[in-house]
Amino acid sequence: MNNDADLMRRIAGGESDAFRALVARYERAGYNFFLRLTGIPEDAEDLTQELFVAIFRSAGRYRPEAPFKAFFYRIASNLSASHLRRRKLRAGPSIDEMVERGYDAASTRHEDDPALSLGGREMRRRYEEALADLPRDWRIALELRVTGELTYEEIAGAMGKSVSAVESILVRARERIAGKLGKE
Amino acid sequence: MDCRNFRRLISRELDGAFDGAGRADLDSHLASCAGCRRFRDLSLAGLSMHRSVKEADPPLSLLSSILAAVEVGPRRRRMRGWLGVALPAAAAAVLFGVWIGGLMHESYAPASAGNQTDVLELTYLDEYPPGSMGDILMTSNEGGGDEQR
Repeated sequence: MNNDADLMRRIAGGESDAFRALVARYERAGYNFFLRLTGIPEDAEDLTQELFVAIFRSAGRYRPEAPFKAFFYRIASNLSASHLRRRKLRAGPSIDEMVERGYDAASTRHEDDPALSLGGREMRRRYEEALADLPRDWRIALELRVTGELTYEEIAGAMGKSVSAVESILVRARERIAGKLGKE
Repeated sequence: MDCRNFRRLISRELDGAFDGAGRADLDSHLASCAGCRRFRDLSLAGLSMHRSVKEADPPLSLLSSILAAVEVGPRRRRMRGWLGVALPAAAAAVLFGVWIGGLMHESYAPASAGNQTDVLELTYLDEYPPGSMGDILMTSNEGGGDEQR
């Protein structure tokens, strides 16, 4: 049996193989979650490392009744919030800053990107800018939903908010983004 | 229901969390509200763009650096634990040594004039005061010594 809860139990018991298996399973998800939020590969790498060290150290406190994904993203959300708070209270770097640091949004997209049919690069640039300008919590909630594919209940658990508050955040974030995308 | 509530339903629908309750009202509202239609269309476009992001591959070194970070942690804690005992013990030993050294210094070193007087008196006593039994015996021995030689 090698489900997440079992791996966590074994990690708490000191089994390094279990930790290695857990990292191999979630490393990609963690890295991409942080990369989407920070836009900077070095920051995403550092945060992913911090995330797994935190998971390792808190393995004894994990309760298998809660889905591991919620536990994983709760720690990831806290790390993101701290990191973004340190970065001048912003949700993420500006597009210009991201490009300066080597981020190429175009290279991270599929060739059949539907955005191309809706206005192409300009629309995509506006979308990235709108995301970067969102308040920190809104951005994290949106990433948890879209990138992490968490349910509203899981997002609420991860962010320490009510389900209703999460719903409101997502609606307001979408209104803000739609406003910027629809600007003439 | 107002636009705010309809947009909540639209947002749920985008997230696959809409249970269908109020579908007819939503459709009716969308047919008459250009603002909410625009919200729905642009939100759908945003979601498509967001989902179309290709996942990046983590650096190959990430796994090993994570494992190294976790292995270093307990070692450091162990070191801190060992030092936590050794350092106070070493400090206590040094202080004890200084204290003992201080006592010995006070007992034997001619650090003050008073102590020097004591030492001189002791030296004098070592040579037996005149008229003491030691002086008498030594005097008689000295005389005998000459005879023995």
